[in-house]
Amino acid sequence: MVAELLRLKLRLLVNAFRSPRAVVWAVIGFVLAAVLVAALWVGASLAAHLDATTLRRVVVIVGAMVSLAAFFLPVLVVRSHLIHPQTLRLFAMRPLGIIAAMLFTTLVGPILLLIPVALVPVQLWDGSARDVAWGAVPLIVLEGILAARLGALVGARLRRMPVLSGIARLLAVLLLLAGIAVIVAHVAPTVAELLPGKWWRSVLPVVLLLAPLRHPAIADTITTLPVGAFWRMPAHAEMGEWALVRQDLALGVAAVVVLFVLWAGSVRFLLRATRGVPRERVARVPGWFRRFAPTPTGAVAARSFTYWARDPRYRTALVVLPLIPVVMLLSMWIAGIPWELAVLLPLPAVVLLIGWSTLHNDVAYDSTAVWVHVSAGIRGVDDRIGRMLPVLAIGVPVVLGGSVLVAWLHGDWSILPALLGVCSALLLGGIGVSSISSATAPYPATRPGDAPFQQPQVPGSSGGGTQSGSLIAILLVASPAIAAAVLYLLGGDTFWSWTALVAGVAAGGVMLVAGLRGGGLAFDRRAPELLAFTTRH
Amino acid sequence: MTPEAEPEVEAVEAPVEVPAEEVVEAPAEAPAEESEQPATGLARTGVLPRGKAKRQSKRATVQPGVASDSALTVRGLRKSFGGVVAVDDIDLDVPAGTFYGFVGPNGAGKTTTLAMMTGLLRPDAGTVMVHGVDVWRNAGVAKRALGVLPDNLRLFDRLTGAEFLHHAGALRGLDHDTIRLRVEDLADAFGLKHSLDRLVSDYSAGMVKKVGLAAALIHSPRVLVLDEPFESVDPVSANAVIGTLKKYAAAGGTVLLSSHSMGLIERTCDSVAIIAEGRILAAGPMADVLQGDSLENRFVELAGGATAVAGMEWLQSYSD
Repeated sequence: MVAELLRLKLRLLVNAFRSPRAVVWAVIGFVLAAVLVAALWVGASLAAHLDATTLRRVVVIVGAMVSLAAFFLPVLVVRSHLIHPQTLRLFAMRPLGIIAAMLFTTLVGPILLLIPVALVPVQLWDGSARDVAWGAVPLIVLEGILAARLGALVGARLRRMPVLSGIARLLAVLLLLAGIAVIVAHVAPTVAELLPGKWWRSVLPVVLLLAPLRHPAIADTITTLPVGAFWRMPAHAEMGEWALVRQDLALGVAAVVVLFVLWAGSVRFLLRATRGVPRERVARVPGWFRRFAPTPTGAVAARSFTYWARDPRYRTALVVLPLIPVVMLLSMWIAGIPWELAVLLPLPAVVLLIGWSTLHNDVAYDSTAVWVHVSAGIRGVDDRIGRMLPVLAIGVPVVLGGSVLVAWLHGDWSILPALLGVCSALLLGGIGVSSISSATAPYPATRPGDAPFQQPQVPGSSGGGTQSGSLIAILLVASPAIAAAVLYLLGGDTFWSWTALVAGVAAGGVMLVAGLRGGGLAFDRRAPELLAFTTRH
Repeated sequence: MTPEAEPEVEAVEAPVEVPAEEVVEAPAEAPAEESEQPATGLARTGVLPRGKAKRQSKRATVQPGVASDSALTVRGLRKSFGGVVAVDDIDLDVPAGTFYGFVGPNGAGKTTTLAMMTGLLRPDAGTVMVHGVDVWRNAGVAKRALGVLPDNLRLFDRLTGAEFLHHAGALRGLDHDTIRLRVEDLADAFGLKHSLDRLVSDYSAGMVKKVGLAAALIHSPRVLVLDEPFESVDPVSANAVIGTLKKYAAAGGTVLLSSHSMGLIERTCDSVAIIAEGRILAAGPMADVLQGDSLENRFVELAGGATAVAGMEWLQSYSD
């Protein structure tokens, strides 16, 4: 059976070379790989010129990059399963047998290149460190095989997702390039010394340019990652730190186990039955409707949650949110605003947008489908609460988690109450104001099914008044909390920080209740007019 | 909703399968408040979820206890859009338990009238009563007795069919088990069974009509107002729907449907109203309106279509 499988794998590999173009690529790939391995061996002979610390760092960084490459190169290159796990099902193999067979057949293939690479560090060490290095070789290869299998799975899966695949490949290339840059930066000064004197003029700028990459923090971060664990063992053995060697071993083995579980789980997933036996459709409460009571409020809430999860117009709002802090921090950094101050601003902006962005015109987003609510004669308050719940469900964790994170980044925990106060006022007040504005002053919105950024093709109002009016109203609600927070920042008196919390929660809470009531009444009174509005646009 | 289709639920809550004449006795078993509402067909309690029964019946006492034979009463209904009169002083009586057709040429005001009758479009003047309850003064009560399918309005089409029907049921306060049973029955009856897990936005026009119709029926209303329910619905499904609606009307429910398919209205309805240019030209039991002619001929005669045919002589001499 084993021989059979290996022959199959070999045959598949050889068959790949039947077209001339494939042969060309294979030759190029083989030459490149050979050059790379040779470079590593030659590089190892340079080791004598490096000081002990740099040597250790370079070995671990190169090793970590090799182990990472074992994962990322298949992600970049592999586009289909050479042997799909399900094809082995034909041989009446159990899932575990298939998993073993796949690991085994991997050994015949490009991963063979990992063996000479894993052997490189052995020559660098003496004595007991050398024994440890020999012991690390099979572990490194095992880890590499698992990583390569996982990478191949990911690569094959990504083929069906062009956009995500593009991003993943770009990230992989950037990561590998960054790794190479760090390695070069560490080796560069030593190499430069070995070069003839007349070359120094051109080499020196490169060495200086790469100097920031030699920062110890970078090397330390990379060397503490689990991917470098097996490569680090001999270095620690040489220093006589046997406790650290054991720690490295444990970390590396843990990484191997995690890789194995991830990969075996994915294979098991690929082996699942892809089509169920046809049977009667199970009648059950679908989706979000299961999680809400069958009341008007529950119906509106379940529908809103489904739309937040499914409708691109809502999802776009969610996708844009994480970008806001990045853009804001970057622009404030360029403007030279101090970090402690700059870090405080993005969270309120994000919270404001969560409460306001789609909710303040939510009825217009329904388009004419709002007739369903009108003809069912549900109370306006029920409608308002239902629409608010998803926003609250997104906003509350952002406010709580975000405030803690920002206070930590800011460096002074006594700002936390002020942050919570301002953000609560913006979120609750935003929901309250939006509940009123969507029932009283809707303006044409992107229609269901249109692209999220497409402007609605209607004459007349584009909603500038509603937008600015509702934003100003929200800021007014938050103004007491904001004022108290500013006083705290100016004076550092924690009294103002707590005042901001109380003022923010109180003003936000009052606005929320008033908004739900007022918006509900407006909806009750104007429901047919709202429907008429949506039919016009 | 066919009463026989869900014995588990109805058997516990209310006697439904009683013939119309015996229904008068049914309220005796129901709570006191309920007796003010004469059950004209599907017993009122059948609509109510177990948990909500108390609250809703308390609200129902607001309703004036008029035992009216008229399911829908329209008086002096009027609507104009920017100076153009769309509906001009319409009076209409739809007796309970009838299958009522509403026909008229394009732009006659059918959709506008039906929208005003169901609380979707505010009239300039006039009243609409559903079983004696004013749709515009006492909307909460009146709308509970109404099942509506408008024409040309969207559904929440990012929901799957099943989700949309659950949404409709939950809006009406039905409990999960009831909704589940009724969704199954309705899907069976209208041939939606295999499409329930697909998004409504992926449905064909006919399927959208059918799922909308199912949503209008899910709370077993006393009165159904359907605007063009058979447009782009295939004949097999249309027959199934008509069968369901006929059974519903036979049990005392009232159906008012608009269509511009004369043949369909003539075959299925027992009363008809003809509307043109915002006015009712004739209304009443089918035989009275037809006066021995076919509905199509009567319609053309009343709506004055013959004059249009007379003109356009230029079309009879070809230009090449």
